[in-house]
Order: sequence, then structure tokens, then C-alpha cells
Amino acid sequence: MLPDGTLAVSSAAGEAYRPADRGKHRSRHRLLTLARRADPDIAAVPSVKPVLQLKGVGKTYRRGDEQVHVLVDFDFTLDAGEFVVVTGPSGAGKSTLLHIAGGLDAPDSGTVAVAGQDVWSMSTGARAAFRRRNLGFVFQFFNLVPMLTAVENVSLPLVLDGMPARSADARAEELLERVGLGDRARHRPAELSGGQMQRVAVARALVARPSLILADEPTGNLDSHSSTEVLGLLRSLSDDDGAAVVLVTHDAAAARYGSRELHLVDGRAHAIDAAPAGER
Amino acid sequence: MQRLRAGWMSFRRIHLAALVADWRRTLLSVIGVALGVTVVLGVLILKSELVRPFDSFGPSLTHAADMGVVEVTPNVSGRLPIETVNRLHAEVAGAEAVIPIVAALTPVDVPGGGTHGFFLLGGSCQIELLVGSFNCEQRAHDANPAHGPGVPLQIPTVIADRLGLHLGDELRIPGLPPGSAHLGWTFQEFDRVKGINDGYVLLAPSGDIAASLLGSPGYATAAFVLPRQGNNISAIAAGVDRVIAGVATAGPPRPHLPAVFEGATQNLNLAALAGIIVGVLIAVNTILLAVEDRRAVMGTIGAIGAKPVGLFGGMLCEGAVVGLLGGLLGVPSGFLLGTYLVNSFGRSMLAGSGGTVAAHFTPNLIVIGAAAGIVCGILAMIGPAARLVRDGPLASMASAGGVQRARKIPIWPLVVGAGMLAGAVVVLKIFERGSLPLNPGINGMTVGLCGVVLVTVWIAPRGAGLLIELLTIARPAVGRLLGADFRRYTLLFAFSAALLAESTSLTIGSHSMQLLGTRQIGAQKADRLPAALFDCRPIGARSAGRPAFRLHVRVGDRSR
Repeated sequence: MLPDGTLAVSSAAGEAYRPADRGKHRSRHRLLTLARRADPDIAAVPSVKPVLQLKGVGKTYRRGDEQVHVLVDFDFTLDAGEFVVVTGPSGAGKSTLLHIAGGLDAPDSGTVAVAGQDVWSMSTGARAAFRRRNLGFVFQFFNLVPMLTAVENVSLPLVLDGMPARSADARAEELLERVGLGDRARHRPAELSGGQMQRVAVARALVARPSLILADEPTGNLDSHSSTEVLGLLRSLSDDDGAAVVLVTHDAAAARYGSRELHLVDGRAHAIDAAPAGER
Repeated sequence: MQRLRAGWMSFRRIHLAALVADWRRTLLSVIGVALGVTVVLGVLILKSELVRPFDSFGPSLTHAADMGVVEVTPNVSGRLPIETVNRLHAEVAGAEAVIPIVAALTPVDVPGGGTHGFFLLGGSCQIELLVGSFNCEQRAHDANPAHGPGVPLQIPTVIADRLGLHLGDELRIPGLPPGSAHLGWTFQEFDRVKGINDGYVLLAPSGDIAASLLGSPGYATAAFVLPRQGNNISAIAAGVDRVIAGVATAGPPRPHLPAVFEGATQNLNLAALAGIIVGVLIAVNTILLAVEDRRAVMGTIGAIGAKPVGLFGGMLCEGAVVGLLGGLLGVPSGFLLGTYLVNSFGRSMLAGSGGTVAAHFTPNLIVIGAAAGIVCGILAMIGPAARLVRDGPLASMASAGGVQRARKIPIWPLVVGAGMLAGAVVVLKIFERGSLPLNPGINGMTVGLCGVVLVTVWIAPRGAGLLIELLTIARPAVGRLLGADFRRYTLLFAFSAALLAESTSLTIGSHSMQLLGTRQIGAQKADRLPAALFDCRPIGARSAGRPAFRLHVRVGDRSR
């Protein structure tokens, strides 16, 4: 235990490529994850900023003449290493929450901070760079780039960040090995099954070692076997890398993978259930 | 450097990979650009080749002169009084030389039985200051011209050999009496004149003789003022302007189109513009078709962290690559189209003027084709790229692309178009009987063309749909590709074709009106001018009592 209350654990951070300013933060996530396993109360350590913090977020859409309040004065905090499952009926605002948190859709009111930085006060270009380095996305329809191979898809965020292609591909191959697709690295998405494509998408979300992964119904297009596989993978990988996860799903079974569940109805968090003990 | 490398890597992974992977679409886009560039190059070749013969006593004639040559062009075409030239000699300080030139295109009957266009050029041996030395003065003093009928003219040896002309052979110039001119000398220095009407040049021994041959004695076609080295060009220009005020204008050498052609240039520009618009439209249509379906993918790439400016620039570069390939592919076909246009339209447009045109392939065509293709590609990409940036990644990801958007063309273009066509046919039938003035006829034709546009807009997509269905049965991969967004494609294509038809019609119409106007003015002149001015006798007969050409005196008189 260090004087400031954090645990001194050696970090696996910085092994290949990482923007310098994220090194410390990453180490903190890792520290926190390990510390939590040792002591559940460690989440209260005051020196660690929340990975995601939404304050008073509101979002309204216009549907014809009708104003639809998708999110209403919404507050939400996600600490490093947490795995939150967001459930709720269609139109409850689950995906909107994810898009706003991910810097893809602007809120009408309130603030969104990821790793302590207000996402919506940044310029568009800076926000894109921030997403690249701090956020990982997993989409329902996989959203892989069809003309790239699996390894090129996974390395894309690193290539966009200016990393040499060879190093980026090496890191991508390592992740594909971890998701069990080492032998499919040179295949294009059209040559992969749905489950395999989603595993590639998970690898892509994790490749830049983001502090937050946002998964929008990642099992919505998969059979139950693939769903279990992908959810298990998402959880174990994020666990290993210390990334926080927000998973939006209709799948009630997916809730057991989270450390807590957030139930949204009409843009408001109606129920927050604790996850079964020992799951996380 | 690192940024460049990173940019290149992103471009390779996101854009080039897409072009390679979706090679059928890429090929379609490249062919689309090539079609556009073909139209553009074809029209530009026609335009440049038509102007080329009339460039001969402008920039081509002065190619060897130092910078700052001032050309004096009379306000009445080909009528610069010799007195004005003499005043320029006397009053413009700082001029090294004032060189009057008599020049015109003229057909010449050649021994084989054919006719070839020559550029008849007359002036003193000071012409060497403009085209470069070709031993003019020495030949004039030392070599007697070959014997033959009429005025001895000189032509390049290469051209004489090419046409089988020998020294002393008569040169028959239509419009002049037989025995007016013959081949007196040939000269070896072809490179001095090869830029003038491709070297088909007849050099008269003096400006006076050339003026007589062209029926304008006492006048020069133009004069060139060469400034002495170190003299202030603007001061010389001011001096020239003072002397020629009201008679002529001065400026840098320029092509001299005949009066009818001056107006036709505007029409050619219009046709070239129409060609360019059609080219761009075809390219835009095809590239749009290719990129529309990739919006969702580009949105995803934006969502995972590509900067909007990077995506925008990448898409423009992708368009430029497609455009470059299409532009280069369009060069040979553009040249072939240009050759066809020159052979079929260019020659008939120049018939009787003596100008000869042939399509020339120059490396510039490759540059123009590539540049036109790149412009087409970039223009085609600007729309989708800007839309991607404007909408943001989320909206782009949610887009279905062009494939799934159904479009329906309403029936009204068919009804209105058919109505306009029927109305136009009725008006034109009445016009044919001569009971209507010209204006309703022209307006009727325009309304009819608009009707054709509207009917085409309705019919073309449906016709294309049927054809694509048939193609899909034979070649499913190609058919599906074309069928993705054929309605918009054929709609825009119909507009393009209609635009070309409309502008061509306008071009033909305005050209016809010009010819009509010229004929009317000619007819009115005959009524207005005194009969004494109408002397239709041959030139030789006009110089009553004097020999037609006092050649022995004039040749001896030539001096710098």
C-alpha cells in the first residue's frame, strides 16, 4: 500500500504502443482492478477519477410533431474496471446513452466526462482522436470494414493513430490470438461467421487499450452459443486489460456478466441492481 | 515525414484497399470518368485544331521574336492602311522595327488534282525577325526565281516535295485568274515556319504582292512592332496607341479568326463547356454510385476515431486516384473522338477558307486528360465527403446507402414533355408553310427540345431498368452492380444528354443565324454602296493598262 492509499502492483502497461498520457491512467485501471479483487471497498479510493461521468444529461428527439425525451436529467458514474449492463425496453434511451457517452451524439444538456475530460467541449477532430485512444466500440452489426482482413480491421484504430502498420498488425495479431481467431487473421469479414466477426470487433475495441468499452447490443445478431462466447470474451478481456465496460442489451442473460445493471425506462434509470456476488 | 507516412498508411488501408477490393465498382467509376474525359478531350481537340490555322500570323508567326512584340490589328479585318504603318515607322520612338504583314489562308490547287490550304504571307525580309533567319535576303539578291506564270512564290522544300511541286510549277489559287502565281523558290529552313499552318506556307516576295493577290492593295493585314532592347515597352505601346487611334488596336500577338469564326468561337466554347459538364456529370454519377454504399463503412471508421478532416481528405484523394486512372484511360478514346470530330465537322467548317485541320496528338493531351479526370474525381467526391463530415459518424453509420433507397419518378415529366413536343410539332409544321415569322419557329424548336428532355427523364430510367434486368439474367454480378442505383444514374444521364442536345442545338442555331445575318448584310450592302465600288473584274484586269504584278521592280526594292 502506497502512502496515498493505492496498492503498489507492477503494471503490464507500456509493453508495445501507448500514448504517453495514457500510461499512468492505464496503470491506475490495472491497479484498481487488481485492488478490487483483493478488497471490494477499494472502489472508494478517492484518488481515482471515474472513467465515465454523465451529469444532468438530457436528450430530446423530434418525431413528427412530437418531442420524445430520450434521456431526462440523467446522472451516471462508472468507475475504472466496472462492467455495467444497461437494459430496458426499446426506445428507452439505451443506445442514445451509449452514443452520447461515446462522443458520437451530442447531448442537449448536461456534461459527459470520460477519464476526467469533457468529451463535448472538445473540437470534432480532438474528439475523434480522443475516441480513438480512450474508447472502444462494439456494435450490434459488427461494423467491420468489409475490404480489410481481420488483422487489418483490428489494427485500424492504431493505424489511424499513426502507429507503423507492422507494429499495429503485430498487436492486432496478438489480440486475435487471444480471441481465438489467430488462424483467421488474414480472412475478410465475409469469410467469417457472425460470432467470429463479433470477436474481431471485440479485439478491435480493445486494441488501443481504451479505458472504456461501449458495446451496443453486441449479441443482438448472434445465436445463443456465439452470444455466450462473445460476452465471456468481452468480460475476460476487459478484465485483463482493466477497461470499464458499458453493455447495452435486450438479453436478460447478459446481465449476469455485469458488476451492476442499469435499467432504463423513458430515459430515466429506474432500477440499479447489484450483480450476483463473485461474478466480477 | 511521420505524419505523411501515417496519412499514407491510413489512405492505403481505408481508401486504396476499398478501391482494390471493390474492383468492379472502381472499374465502373474509372470508365465513367474516362467517358467524361473522352467528351472533354474530343471537344477541346476540335476547338484547338479549328483555331490553329488562324493562329498563324499571330503567336505562331512571332515565335522567334523577343518578348514584348506589339501586334497592331486593324479595326476592319485585314485593312490596316499602309499610311498608318508608315506613321508607326516614323513616330514610334524606341521601336527596332515595324513589320507590316499581309496574310491569309487560301486554298491552292496542287498538281495531283487535289487542293491544299496554304497560308499566304507577304512582307519584307524583316519577317526573319519574327520567325527566325531563313536566308531570305540573300536568296532575294542572289537567286533568281524559277521561270513560270505570274508571281513567284516560295514554299518550304519539304512541303514542295510532299506535294510533288517543282520549281516553275503553276500555283493555282481559286478566285485568281490562271497564271497568277508559280513556285519561284524553295527554302530548306522548314523549322522556321512549321508552326504556321503546319508549314504549308506561301511566301510572297513582298507585302504589296501578297496584298494584290488577296485583293487588298494598299493595306496590310497587321503590323508587328518590335521594341529595341532596353526600351520601355509601355512607352512604345503608348506611342503605338497614339498613332493607331481609331484605326486599329494594339496588343500581344493573338490568333486571327475570320469574322464568322469569331462568333463561332463562342459557340465552340459553349459546346466545350457542355462537353465538360457532361463529362463531369457522367463521372459524378458513376463515382457517387460507387461511394454511396460505403457511407456506413466510412461512418464506422469515423466512429472508431478517424478525424473528419482526414476522412474528407482521404475521400478526395480517392476520387483523385479514380479520376487520374479514368483520365488516362480517356486520353486515347478522347483523341479518337477528337480526330473524328476534326475530320467530320472541323474540315467542313473550314471548307473554302484554305485552312487545313488534322488532329495532333501532343503530350499536353495526357496532362489535360489526367487533370480533367482528377477534377471530375474530386468534384464527384466532394458531395459524399462533405455529407459524411456534416452528418457525423453516427448518421453515416445508420445510412443504408444508395442501394436500398427507392426512388420514383412521377408521371408529370412524361405528360408535360409529350404536350410540349406535340405543341412544338404543330408550331413547326405551320412554320414550315412560311406563315409564321422566325421567332415562333425558333421558340417552337426550343420548346420541342425541352419536351424531349422531360420525356427522356421519364423514359430513360425505365428503359435502363429493363435493360439492366436483362443484363442481370446474363451477368448477375454486373447487373446487380448497375442496378444498385440506376434510376438516379439514368436520370442524371438523361439530363446530361439533354443538356448536350440543347447546347448543340443552340450552337447550330446561332451559327445559322450568323450566316443568315452575314448574307442579309451582304445583300443590303449591295443596295447601299455606290455601283462604282463593285468591280468584279479579275485583279489583273483591274490594274488597267499596267502589268498585273511589277515583280522585277518589287523584288529589287526589297530591303530591310
